[in-house]
Formats: sequence, structure tokens, C-alpha cells
Amino acid sequence: MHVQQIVNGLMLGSVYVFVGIAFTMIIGIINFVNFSIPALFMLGAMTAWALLNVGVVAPLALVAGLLVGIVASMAVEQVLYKRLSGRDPVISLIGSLAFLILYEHLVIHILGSDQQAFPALLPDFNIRFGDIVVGLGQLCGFAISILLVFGLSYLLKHTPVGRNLRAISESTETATILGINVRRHVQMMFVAVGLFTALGGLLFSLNYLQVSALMGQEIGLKAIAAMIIGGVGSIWGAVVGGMLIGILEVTTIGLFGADTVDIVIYALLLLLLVVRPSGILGGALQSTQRI
Amino acid sequence: MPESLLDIRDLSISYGPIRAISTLTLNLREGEVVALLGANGAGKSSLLRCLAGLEKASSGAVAFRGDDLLRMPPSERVKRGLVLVPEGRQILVTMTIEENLLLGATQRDDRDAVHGEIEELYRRFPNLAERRELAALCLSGGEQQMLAIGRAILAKPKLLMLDEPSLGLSPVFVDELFDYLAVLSESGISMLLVEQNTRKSLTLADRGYVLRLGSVVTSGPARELLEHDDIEAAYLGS
Amino acid sequence: MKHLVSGIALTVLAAMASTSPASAEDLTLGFSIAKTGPFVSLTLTNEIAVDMAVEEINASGGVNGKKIRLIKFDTGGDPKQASIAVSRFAKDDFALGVIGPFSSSECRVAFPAGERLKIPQIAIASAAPKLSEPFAYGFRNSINEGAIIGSVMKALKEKGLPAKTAAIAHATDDVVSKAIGTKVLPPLFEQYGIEQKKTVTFQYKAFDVSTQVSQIKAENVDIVGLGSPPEAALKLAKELQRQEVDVRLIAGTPAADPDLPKRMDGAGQRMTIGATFFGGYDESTKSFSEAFAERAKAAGIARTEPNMYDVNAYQIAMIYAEVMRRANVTGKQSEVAAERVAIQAELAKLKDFPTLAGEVTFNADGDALKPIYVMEIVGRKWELLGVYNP
Repeated sequence: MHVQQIVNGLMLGSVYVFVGIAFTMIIGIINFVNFSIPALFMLGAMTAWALLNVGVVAPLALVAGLLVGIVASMAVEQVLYKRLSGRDPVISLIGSLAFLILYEHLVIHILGSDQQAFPALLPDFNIRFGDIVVGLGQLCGFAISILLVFGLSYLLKHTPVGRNLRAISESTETATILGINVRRHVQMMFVAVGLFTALGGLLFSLNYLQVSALMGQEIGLKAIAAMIIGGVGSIWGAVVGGMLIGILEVTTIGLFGADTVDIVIYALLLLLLVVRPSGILGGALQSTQRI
Repeated sequence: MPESLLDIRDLSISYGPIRAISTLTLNLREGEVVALLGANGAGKSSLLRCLAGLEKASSGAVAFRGDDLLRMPPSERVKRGLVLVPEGRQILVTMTIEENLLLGATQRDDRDAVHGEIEELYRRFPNLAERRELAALCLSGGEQQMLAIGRAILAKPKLLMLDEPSLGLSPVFVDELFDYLAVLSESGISMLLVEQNTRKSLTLADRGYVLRLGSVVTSGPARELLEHDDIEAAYLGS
Repeated sequence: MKHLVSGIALTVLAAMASTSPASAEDLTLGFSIAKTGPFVSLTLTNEIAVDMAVEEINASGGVNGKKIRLIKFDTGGDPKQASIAVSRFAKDDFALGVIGPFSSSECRVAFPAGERLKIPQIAIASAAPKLSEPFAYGFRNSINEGAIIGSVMKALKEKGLPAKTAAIAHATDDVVSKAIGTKVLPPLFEQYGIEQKKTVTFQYKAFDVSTQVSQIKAENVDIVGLGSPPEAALKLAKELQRQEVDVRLIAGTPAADPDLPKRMDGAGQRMTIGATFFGGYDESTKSFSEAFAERAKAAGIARTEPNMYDVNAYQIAMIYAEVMRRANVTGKQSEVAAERVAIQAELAKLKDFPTLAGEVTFNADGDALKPIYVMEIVGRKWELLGVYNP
């Protein structure tokens, strides 16, 4: 039975990994805490839900969800870019928070605040290993998040684009001097963040069959916690942190009940900030990170 | 007579109410090495940063190989051959030496030629070759300066702008640095050199400009400036 | 001058329209309705049921030869507004009684206000224990969860359905759900000799309940007592199906959604609940459900099947008609205070009043006693398991 609980925890954790990576990428590369990310997660899912609701075919609705996520993310970049250059990080942070609230309330205004049932598009197919049950949809989500992480870390390490992004991460000015088109790379990153986060929202809806205008908030908070626990700016840190929170959540529910989950997770977060401020995998990275 | 490479006319640069450069006019012909002299705060670094696209000009015009430079984004300037070796070298210390060099060639498409040039650089600087896969953090100040210049060379510059390249280097390295700059100059690369070591830079340079509080106070052939008594005084800012 | 006269006339007309004083022919009832607010999915349709009742009464000649007139006040589910509604009905509208308010939190404020004004109120859904006891003028046409789930337990026992071991699953952030999980279910399990092996909790908006279901699976129980709104019940049932846990869910009124079997889509088979209305019970409930569905559809409301609260509201209008008949009320403004007292006295005496879905009695506390319908999910429908009288 414990194995089943670990499986449950990993499946849950992969949701946090998706969103955690989006946060950590933007922080790692341009040192910007992008609070609009939970809204992108929600926009992907709510767009698809709304279109399915009026009879649009599934593939089209899902693609539209991704596109809305990308466009919403690009809008954040367009409006906040001048503030992103590092001179006033607080203003860009508040700006992204304003985007979060704006997007959420636009959706509430148009589609309402109620929790809605997302239609079951995937067949309810489960794989069984003896006593252990793994949902196919969840397994896909898990696999995609792991693939995404491997893909990203390969891209960052071994491709010219990745090299450029790491250069921007270390010093925007040096990257500019070397002839890297910083703005274009930043735009590319926002597109990627919009795409991945909206994809995360869609996978979430397909698996858990529910959406709401505020669905991004709880997941966004846990994803930030995952990122901090794993190590800010480290992709593998987001993975470790996300999975850890998933398993921790499951274990806490098992031992103490649902009400204690947030107490345990955020207490652990604070404890970790005291004993290891750079997070589990953040040591090497943190020392060279820009302020 | 060689063509004009860089043509600066009435350029002004301001930081709020403070004027770093005011109505400066300067020109540089192809193949020339021009030294910029002047005390701290004379506006030399501001000028180089502005030409590289890191600062905005408040008025004036700059033509580089005949095109309007001030309208180009920084990456375009590098692509056209205007490359800055910044003050303090700005090596990317978390990245490997090889990656630093590859980043210098960001705007180039001819990958094979780039790899050949990198091997050539390694032959000239065996210290870098040995540690090519290590993070650049492991290099000494002199080695970092060589890497910074090597990185800039990989962009195939027409005009190399150097901001205080000898700052903080031991005398042995300073000699090696100027030897290398002479080789580069021989190979046809033009230079705009900001340097505290007036004597060495005027020896390398064809012409010089002396700046004071953002304006040109005097200019002329390097040899004449070397013999001029006022230079040291102006340079010290007295 | 002409303008002035027409102005005055308009003002008088407007005043008449807004306060609309009862004509001598009418018997006025107030209706505290919540068209928005926390329970809107349950309350929005109450108006349809009450309108149906009043139209039926008036069509068959009214009460004592007079028509019933409804004055509606939208509280938005807000207790403060519910108390404002009572005093408006009593002081401005000369109402003889109030249909509503809906929830316990509204009753806590509106009942004391009604008591001071001596105007009867009959709540639609409030089920918090003992809430109406101190108030002579506060009645509730609803049944507490203990009696409802008790009937479910009785049905299981009578039918000989397996119920030796049990687990409890309840939401922690919904007052009624938590009370069911912590206060209602444990003593009932003890009373029926059922071994309670495990309690798991969740937040009702939680998206993932796989952990809780894995825990239930490990205990291998016969039944799971559920304290949860319909959405979370749905989620839990689907996860139970996914993890192949073969148990019977039992639940009280928070999960009593007429559409639940359809929404379960194959999950939650044999889930058993108690409610005070079952649409397919007899001819009268069936024809009520059909008429209700027509109106709901016309109003553009997604749920077209009446829920038990719609029926409660319908019954309240019928009860008022009956007691006003018995008290011979006239609706005259000068008599209104005395007639309210008479209505209160008749309500307190009401016993076995036959209406839609069974006979209603008010006990000494002012709470309703009426039949409880125990039903289970079979396929995509609720099926009746038994009817239990209190």
C-alpha cells in the first residue's frame, strides 16, 4: 500500500514540477519572479473548457488553450519588459501580480467563478501492477514533465540557444556585448513559459476533470514552494522539490489529515530556508547568481 | 586615402542632468588605431558603451561603415563588426573557456571557420587550451584578459573597442597584451583604445584624442601627442 | 401647473408601486429568496416551486375567498439581509408570514428579529440542531442529518445489505460536511454495531483524493460514510472506481443532487442517501417534477429536476394556505397582528398535514417531521430503497 501512496505522490508532484519549472526558468535567466504564471495555467485550461462547452472539437479547443497561454504570457513580456532590466525588480514583481489578478478576474467576469467539470476526453484507462494502480493520463503527465526537464536541461547545456540563455542568466550586459539578441531570447522564453504552463493546465484538467478561474493559485503557491525547496533557478531543483511536496502531501494526509498539509509543507519550507537557504540543489548555482 | 570606418558627429550622452559626453566629434579610418586619453570621468567609457549600444545617445549622429549606428540594436552592431572588450573583462565565469569563446561568435554562421579560429587561439594561448573545458573562474586576471580579447576577435571585428585592457595586470602581462594588440592591428583590425597607460597606448596608436569633461580638448597624430607636454597634465585632470 | 399635477400623480403612483399596499382582497406572504450567494445552486430554483404552489392555491379559489400575494426579497444568502427582509415584510408589507429564510446562518439572525415582530417564519433548509427551539415564531421545514442518515442505516439493516465495517470520509472546510463526519456518523455506526476502522479527510475543493482512497482501500471496509457536497462526492466516487475499491457510499442531504447519478457516469454505484423528496415516488411527485422541469427550462436554468429544497419551499406555501384557512384570516391591515398570532398557533398544532411528498408535522421545537426517502444509485438513476417515517 505504501508503494501506491508513493505513486500517488509522484503523480501529484508532477503537476507542481510543471509550474515550478516555469517559475524557476524565468527567475534563473532574467531574475524575475513571474507571478502571472498561475494565471497562464488557468487560462490554458479555462479556454479549452469554454470552447469544449460550446461544441468546439477537442483538438482545436486544446490547441486554442495553448495559444491563449502563449499570447497571455507574451503580453506580460510586452508590458513589463522595460521594467525587467533589473533596475526595479519590485515593480516588475507587482506588475506580474497585477496580471495574475487581471487575468483571473477577466475569466471570472466572462465565465464565472464556479468550479466546473472538465469533460473526460481521455478514456478512463488505468494500468495495474499487482495491487498498484496508475492512471494512464497521470502517467502521461508525469512522463511529459520528465521529458520536458530532460529536454530543457539538454537544450541549456548543449545547444547555442541554451548557451545564449545561460550567458544572459549570468550577465545581461555581457550577453548584449557579445551580440546576443537579449530581447528576442527573453521573448522566446516567455513563449515557452506560456506554452508549458498552459500545457500543464490542460494536462491537469484532463486528469482531474475540473477547472475554475482560481485553479492556478493553490498549484502556483505549491510550485513556488517546490522551487524554493529544490533550489531557485535550478531545473532539477524544481523536479526534486515538486516530487518531494507531492509525496509529503500524500504522507501528511495519511498521517494527520487534509487540514495539516499546508502547515507541514510551509513549515518545512521555512525550516529549509533557515538551515539551507539555497535549497536542496541550489548550492552551486546560487553562488554565481545575479542579485 | 583609406575609407572612414567610424564617423562620430556632435554626439552627446547624458545621465539625467549629468552630461557624460557633449557634442563630441571623432573619426576613425579603416586600419587605424586611435587612443582615447583623459582623466577618470572624462567620458571615455561612456563613449565606448554608447557605441556598443549599452547607453543611449541624447543627440548627435554616428556612422559606422556608412550606416546609422545609433539606430541599430546592439546585436546588429556586433554582426557588422563593432565589438567591445569591456572594462573589467566581463568573462562569464560559470561557463567554460570554450563556451566563452563560442559566445564571441554568436553572430556568425560559419561554424567550421569558428572552430578553426578557436584552435588557432589555443595555439597562441596554451594556458587557455589546457583548461578549455573548465569554468572560466579558474583563470588569472591576465588570462581572463586574453580570453576577453580572444572572444571579441571571434566575432570577426572590423573595429575593436578596448576599455582599459591593462587595468590590474602585472607588467609582464601588459607587455604581452600590447604585443598581441600590435599583431591584431597588423592583421588589419582597427581599434579604439581607452587606456590609462598613455605611453604604451600612444606608441601603438596612429592618432589620439584627449577628452576632458566630455569634450575633445586636443587631438592629433600619436607621435605628436607623445611629445606634447600638456598631455600628462590633461590626463591627470589638473 | 399641469406639470406639477402630473408630477404629483407620478410620485403617488411610484410610491404605490414600490410599497404596493395590500388590497383588502389579498393575503400577503413574504418570501426570503437567495438568487445569489453561497447556496445559489440549491436556492435559485426555490422561486419556481413557490410560484407553482401560489398559482395552484389561487387557481382553486384561494384561501377564505382571498388570493395569496407573494412579496419577494433577495437576501443573496446574507444573514443581515435576511433580517432586513423580515422587518420589511412585517412593518411595510403587512405580511402574515414568511417563506424562508434558507440557511442556518440566515435563521440565526432572522429568527430573533421575527420573534420580536411576532411574525411567523418557516425556514427552507436550515438543519443545525436546536436552532428553532427558543423561538415560538421560528419554524423549519427541514430534517436534521441524524434522522436522515439514521434512515439510511435502517434501510441497510432491513435489506440485509453488508455493513459490518465502515470508514468515514468528510470535507473539513464545509460546516455541515464536517458535522456529518465527526458528530453524526460515529454515534450512528456505534448504534448499529458497525466497526468504524478509519476516518479520512479532504478539503472540498481538493483536486486529488487518491491518497484518501488508497487509505480506504487498505482498510477493506463494507461502507464509507460520506460528509461532502456533491462535487467532492463525485471526485471520491470516481477515484474509488479507478482504484477498484468496492464499497457502498452512504451520505446525507449535502450530496442529495438529483443529477448526481448522471454526473457519476458509471461511478458511485449503490451510493445510498436519504432525502425528503423522491421525484419518482408517486403520480403527484411525478407530475410536480414535470411541471417544475418545464418552468426551469423556460427560465433557462441548467438543472431541471426539483431538489428537496424546492419541495420544502413548495410545502411551506401549502402549509401557510392550510393554517390561514384554519385560522380564518381576513388579511385586513388592522387585524394583521392578531392574525399572525393565530397563524403561529395553528403552525404549532400542525400534525400529519398531507401535502406533496408526504405528511408534515411540526414538533415542539418547531422542526418538521416527515417521510424520509432512502435511495441508491443504480446505473444513471436514483432508485428508491425505502420510505421511513420519523
